[in-house]
Amino acid sequence: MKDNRDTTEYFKEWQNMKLSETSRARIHEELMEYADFHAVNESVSLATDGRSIEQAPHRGALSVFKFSFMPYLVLIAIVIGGGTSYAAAGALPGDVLYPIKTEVNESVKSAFTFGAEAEVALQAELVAERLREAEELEAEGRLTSAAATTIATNLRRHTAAAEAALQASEESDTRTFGAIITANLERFNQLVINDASLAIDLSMIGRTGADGSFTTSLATQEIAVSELQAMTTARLNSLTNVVTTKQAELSAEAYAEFKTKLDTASELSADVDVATEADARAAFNTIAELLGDVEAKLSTLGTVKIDENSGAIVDIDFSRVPALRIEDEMRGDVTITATSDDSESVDSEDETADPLLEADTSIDINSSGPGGINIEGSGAVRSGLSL
Amino acid sequence: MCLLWYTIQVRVRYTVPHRYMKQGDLQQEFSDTFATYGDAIFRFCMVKVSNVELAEDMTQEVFMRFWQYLRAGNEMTNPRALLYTIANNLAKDWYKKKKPVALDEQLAVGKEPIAPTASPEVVAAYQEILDTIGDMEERDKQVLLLKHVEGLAPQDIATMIGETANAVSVRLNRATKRLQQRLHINI
Repeated sequence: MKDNRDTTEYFKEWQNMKLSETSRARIHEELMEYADFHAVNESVSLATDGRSIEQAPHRGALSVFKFSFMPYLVLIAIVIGGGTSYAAAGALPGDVLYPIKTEVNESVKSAFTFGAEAEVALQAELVAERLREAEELEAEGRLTSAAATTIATNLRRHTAAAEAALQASEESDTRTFGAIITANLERFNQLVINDASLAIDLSMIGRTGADGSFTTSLATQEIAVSELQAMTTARLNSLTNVVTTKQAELSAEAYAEFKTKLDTASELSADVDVATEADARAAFNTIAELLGDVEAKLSTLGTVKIDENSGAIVDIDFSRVPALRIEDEMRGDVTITATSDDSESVDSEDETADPLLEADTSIDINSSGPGGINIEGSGAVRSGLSL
Repeated sequence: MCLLWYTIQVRVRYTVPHRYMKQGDLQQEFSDTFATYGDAIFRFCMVKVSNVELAEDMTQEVFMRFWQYLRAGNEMTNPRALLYTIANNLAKDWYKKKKPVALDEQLAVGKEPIAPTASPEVVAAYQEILDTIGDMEERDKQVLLLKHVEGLAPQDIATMIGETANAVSVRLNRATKRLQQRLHINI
């Protein structure tokens, strides 16, 4: 072991071989001068992990892919996202992907549509698409009232958008699209002929001219402000009446809420200056929204009776709480066919389903808006409307 | 193609954490590196040139090149390995340029320092160390130094001098035996 000690000693001596202090100081000084002279331009980025400098280039070509998953994530997201969007294109009301189709895909389409004519064309296309959906559901016996309601709501939305675009364009070229829309709406009305509440009132939406063309303008179909006032007042009064008479049966909070809203509506209504038409219309719209809220809430509490002409709620029966709300139906818990007598779709294994069959859902359309299309309470659902 | 380019960019950016340095910081880093590795590089240069003066100049040159490397913003993850690599390349250049010199000239330049940067005793002591391994093969000397004096692993030595770890180990083993013979140790 003496051998090893000798070697170790030799290496130790070797380790003591160092720069002399004077040399070290001189070299250090010269190096700093050199560094000053060859200064860095701005700043330098230095890698700071402990890898040896030689290791970096030694990676194989494939290792390029090792840490760079970000672009692939992006790619996958695009593929999946695009796939969902693409898959949604064939969805029907009641399908999981249907909201994606109507809300995402079609909104994107609309967002990339420029100009009133293109917008009308797009809306006409979408109306036709809704019709295809309705007919497909009908063919499969799946045209439930919920599905029909969804389609009707969308149809009204498309028509309203088309109307707005038509107002803006004033171009006669758009008439053909108007005709397409009208034709499709008529077909829809035929489909839901046994459910009057779903039918779309064509006279309110657009007028079919003598030559069959779609002539529409705000002026021709606008409800006069005085008429609007009368309708709003009637609706307000009947609602106030219902809420007041049924106060005992309403919960305190519900009553307070209704009361506040109705009072606000009443105040607004009193302040409306019919002379300034635009202001008056705006005021009536606000009132209509308030009333719509109340109507929507009421319709979930009991079975409401609606006046055929004014569309206002005239009575409510709290003993018959609508067992079926549109949300429930849309979840697909219960399948009820509004138009089909196919016994399979009315599943009798659920005994409690029987009373539900009596309940039906509908959307009340009250024509008080400027375009004649105003879905009250943004999709207010009333149950128990006898057909 | 674009994706591939992006991939490469991402790889370069994200695999290694980076820090951004200004002149002052970088100079401090440089100074620290010299303080830490100056002697080791000097020893390495001594093995290469067997001359205190030349080794000092070479050490300085190694650090100047190192500064240029830093300044260019190159990836600097292991300064020690980088310094040895620079020194090794510099020594190669030096050998290429070296002209055959007469023995007396060599004596004048090497064994007897012209500038008294180090005391004659110290130089003599260094010379003694180098004399032991004096006529050993250059590569034997450097593996002995890097392994036993600097304590580097054969793999690290291999990457520095451009050989396989196995070759380094074999060379190290034989060089150690030869050294022991020179130290008059009977094996």
